Amino acid sequence: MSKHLSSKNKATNNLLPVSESAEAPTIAVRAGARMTKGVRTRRLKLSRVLIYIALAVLLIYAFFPTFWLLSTSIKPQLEAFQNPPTWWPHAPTLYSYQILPQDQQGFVQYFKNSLIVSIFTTFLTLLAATPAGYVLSRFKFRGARSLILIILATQMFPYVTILISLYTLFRQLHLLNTYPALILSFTTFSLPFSIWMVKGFCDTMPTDLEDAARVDGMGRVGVLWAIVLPIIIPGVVAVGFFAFLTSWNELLYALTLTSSPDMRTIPAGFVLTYIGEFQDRWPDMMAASVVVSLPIVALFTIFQKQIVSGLTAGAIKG
Amino acid sequence: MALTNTAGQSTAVRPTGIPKYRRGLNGPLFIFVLLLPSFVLLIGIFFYPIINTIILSFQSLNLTDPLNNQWVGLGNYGKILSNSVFGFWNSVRFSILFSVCATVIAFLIGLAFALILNQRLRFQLLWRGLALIPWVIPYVVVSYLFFYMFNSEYGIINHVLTSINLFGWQPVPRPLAWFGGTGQLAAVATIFAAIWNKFPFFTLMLLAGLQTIPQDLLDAATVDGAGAWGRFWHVTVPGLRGIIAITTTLMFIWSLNEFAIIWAMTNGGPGDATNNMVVNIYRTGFLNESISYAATMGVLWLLMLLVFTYFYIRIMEGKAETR
Repeated sequence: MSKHLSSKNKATNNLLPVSESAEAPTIAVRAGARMTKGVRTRRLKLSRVLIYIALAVLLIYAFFPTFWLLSTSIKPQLEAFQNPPTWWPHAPTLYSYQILPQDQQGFVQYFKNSLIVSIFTTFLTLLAATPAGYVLSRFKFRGARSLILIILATQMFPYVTILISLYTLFRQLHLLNTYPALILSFTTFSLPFSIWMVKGFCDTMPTDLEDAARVDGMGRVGVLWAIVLPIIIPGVVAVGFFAFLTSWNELLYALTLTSSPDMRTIPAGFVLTYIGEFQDRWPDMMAASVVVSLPIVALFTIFQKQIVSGLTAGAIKG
Repeated sequence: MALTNTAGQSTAVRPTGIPKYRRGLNGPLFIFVLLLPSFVLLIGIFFYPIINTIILSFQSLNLTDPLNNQWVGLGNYGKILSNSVFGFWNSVRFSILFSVCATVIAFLIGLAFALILNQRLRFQLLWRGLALIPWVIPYVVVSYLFFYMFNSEYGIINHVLTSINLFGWQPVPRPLAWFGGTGQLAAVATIFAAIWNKFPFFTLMLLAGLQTIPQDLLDAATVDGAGAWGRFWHVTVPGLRGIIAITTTLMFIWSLNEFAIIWAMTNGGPGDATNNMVVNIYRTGFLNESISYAATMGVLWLLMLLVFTYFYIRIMEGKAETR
């Protein structure tokens, strides 16, 4: 099917310059041959209006919870409990943001922990996944196919299965309540998907440049460093973003592998603090939520292009 | 090392121009070294604990009485599968229900968004950015936000639902107790939160897929007399088939292993109503300290997911062949 499509696509592509310049109006006229011109434009306008209405509905759905998050975060304590709720605070206040640095709920510590763990996880993931994905994409060696299948399957494994064994393992190694325990486990969890994405991204890259460099006498290490790495940067950035997102979000193992409040990451800290002791302080919670969402939103905004191309090339075309 | 290779290479170059394996870092060792970090991590932190879990599942370890640990053979499996402890099948049922609902509805919303964002619009990038925001909001934030919005006393959702009044007909006359009662509403609430968090993944992927469908093909269909529906069904859908198969399978399996959203919202309750498999294993192993039962459920869940994984691999392999 896809072959059929692509051949057809090629055929039409050849005609593209013609159809773009001169043929386009003809086609449009032919399409609407039976309609008078007025009916056609009215119909076009109607469909445009419908599209914008649908867009508005979907955007309200997509953005309303975020709006509610922002609006609650600037409400005074009592207003957050009003029934009926107020859409926009009568007396907006930044109080909930101002008290965050005072660290009453350990927020600053959680944020710091999450930042450390996520940054190290990202680097470690890139360090391990980039070479592995490259090798699995470029080299045909005995067992390569089964390795690829294992990685593909591992990506789907339920990590909860190893919950207890991993806990026991880290306890034996005296690593409970440490950064390495969190970093090592988060890295391992994001590895299969990361390797797969790098592999997929490398698969879409032509090998000509690498071959040329090899012919010119460059060593394999040099080729990887100087030729391959620069062209797979979008894939690497996407993988890094995913590793960061995974460890920023991870709750199950953050709860299990840490017990001391000093070591909690944001998700674990939120679950153990806000729902227990600070249950009734919604505006504070929402302000903290806005702040912890910012790093991811910022990263995504900055690297959106690379993330989209890396993700689609890696996960889809791979 | 590189120098010695350069010296030997010019004579050893094959017609295709690509040198063969050599010793040192230019040969098989290169592959080994590059794969090593991933191997060490996956074996040490993943495969070794899995084997350990399988061993635990044949024992009777309970932390309330850790010294009394015996081999029980398949005893744990018998008890778990016959549902006499810890409601295994209840968790399987809710996990699948949660996953199917979340995946299907998130897919439909994501597809609708992608189709609209694929049109020529004003401020397109802004709309796309807004549509993708839910995806980058941390899970815990998503669950608390929805927990607050679903609050039975002062939540906005109850407020909106109770104020619906169509000519005297009120579908929801009194506020709903979302997180109480039999728990069906709690299940709806968790699924609702998950859908909101997950649909942007589909939007992103399907939008990327839509942009690979050539406009000429759509124009050609128009010339052949196809309406909007015909173009969608006969051109767009076939063009997206691969992406649809992969993204829905991925999302389905990811949702089967959802923990953060459910745990932060309901702790698996009320009762066992939202006790999906991951929550169940966490509760059994860490709150009840019944280590071996938790391990048994973990192994059974792994086996069940392997079935879905098999289909996923088939799809990916099929994809690789057609490419």
